Amino acid sequence: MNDEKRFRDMMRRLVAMSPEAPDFPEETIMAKHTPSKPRPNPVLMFAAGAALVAAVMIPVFLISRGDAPVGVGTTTTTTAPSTTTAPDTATTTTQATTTTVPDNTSSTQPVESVWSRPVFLYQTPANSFLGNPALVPVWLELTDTGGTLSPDDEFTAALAVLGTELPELPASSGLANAVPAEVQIISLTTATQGADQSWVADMNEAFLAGAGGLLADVTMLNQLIYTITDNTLGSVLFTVNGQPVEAFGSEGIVLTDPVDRETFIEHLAPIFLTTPVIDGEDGYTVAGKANVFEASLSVQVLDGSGGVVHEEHLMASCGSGCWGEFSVDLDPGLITPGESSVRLFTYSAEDGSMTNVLTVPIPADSGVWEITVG
Amino acid sequence: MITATGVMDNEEIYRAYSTELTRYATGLVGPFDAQDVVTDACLRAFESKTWSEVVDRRAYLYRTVFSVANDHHRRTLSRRLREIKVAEPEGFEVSSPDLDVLRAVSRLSVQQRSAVYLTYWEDLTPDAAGDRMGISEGSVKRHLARARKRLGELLS
Repeated sequence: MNDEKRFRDMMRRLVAMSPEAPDFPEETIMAKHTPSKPRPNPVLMFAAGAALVAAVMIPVFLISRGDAPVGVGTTTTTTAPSTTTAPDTATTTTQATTTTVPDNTSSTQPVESVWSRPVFLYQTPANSFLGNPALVPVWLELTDTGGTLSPDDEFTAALAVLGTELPELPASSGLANAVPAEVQIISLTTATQGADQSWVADMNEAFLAGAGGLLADVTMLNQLIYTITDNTLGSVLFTVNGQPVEAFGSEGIVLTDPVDRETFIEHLAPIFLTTPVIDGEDGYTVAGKANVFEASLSVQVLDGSGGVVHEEHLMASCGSGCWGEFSVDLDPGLITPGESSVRLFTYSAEDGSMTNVLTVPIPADSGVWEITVG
Repeated sequence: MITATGVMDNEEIYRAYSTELTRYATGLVGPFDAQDVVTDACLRAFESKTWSEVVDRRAYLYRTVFSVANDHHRRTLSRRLREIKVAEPEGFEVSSPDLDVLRAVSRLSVQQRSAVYLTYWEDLTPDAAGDRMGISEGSVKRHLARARKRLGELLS
């Protein structure tokens, strides 16, 4: 049985187990949107007020006469805790009102879970005039065998990886991570501001310190922005304790408005990747953005000893002062996972040397970084 | 406040799509929790302040089901299967092919499950599946390739 038939058969059997659709949750909706409370009866209000006055004034009167009644204790005054003003956004949260499944935390045995998504790291290109870092996304498949990562959130998992030494990455990969280990995403929700919708990433306070220096700070932001916005919405509002960030990192970058993939793009290298280089249905896709002379760049496939086994010329959609996109599908036959690497660069107009050189290793499992924790 | 008319509108939408959403949720979290995911997703959608402005509500509901499944129920299927295993009488071997399928599916990430379901049950192209999931066509292809690799090992 080929893959397609196997998949279709599996889906048929899976869908055959589908339960009937649940009833419309009318009661829940109506309970959440009950009209304002009925106005209280003024007669009852007056009676209640009179009783309250009597209850307070009679003991006070007796105390002032020096003959406190037995049983009247001292009254302590407490201050209500101050309320925190929520940001001026409409936050979407999940209301699990009908869930009958016991909470995950009630389970006494660890449960395996799997995450798969791109996570953006960086690499400092070789022979680069600017020295800005290039983003390099890796396709992460993280298997948590022991319930180590909590809460159950793919972005937390991604950050947990961003904040480690990435033990599965070979030291020669040249990939690095600017996000400090102590930085965490507390929650990730969506919010509406005017006509725009964005992610709201509520970070812990360690986020505010940045990564140490302006370039590291911006690289950290770019890693987080690109990792979070790989899904659906294109912008991120960073908050700490629910409040927009007015000063981030060593230079006090203002983050009170949502930021997106373009906000700090000028702090990136002239060539960087926007999708992981893994073996997909069209081969190994190498895609990214470039701002290079005449939109011209090249890609090479290197074997395990660094020899060039393939080279081709690419054109970005824009160049010489503007950012353009490029994409090429490399034949899987050219690549030996675990040994090969892909090199992106431009030829210098002055001396023909390779500049802005980005070298991306291809991990053993079809370009996927498999990490197991727990 | 939701008006009487608004409730009816939502109810009509619910009745139109809840069956296919439940099938989709089954593909994402298995049959045990599909109903809860659909209910939670619809409540989330109906209570969203942007719900009244949504043009393609079916697509929106699909994305919300995906999001709810992704947020809350990732671990549930494997836990359910373990509970079934624990509940078995001694000496009873689980040989149900459906359980085999569920075990295989539980080894996939939610994104991989969604890509497989939309491609091989709904017959969507990677581009259309990406629209449903809110990710790029390239990411759908990658999820499919990874699912194929994982399931190829498990089901062969």
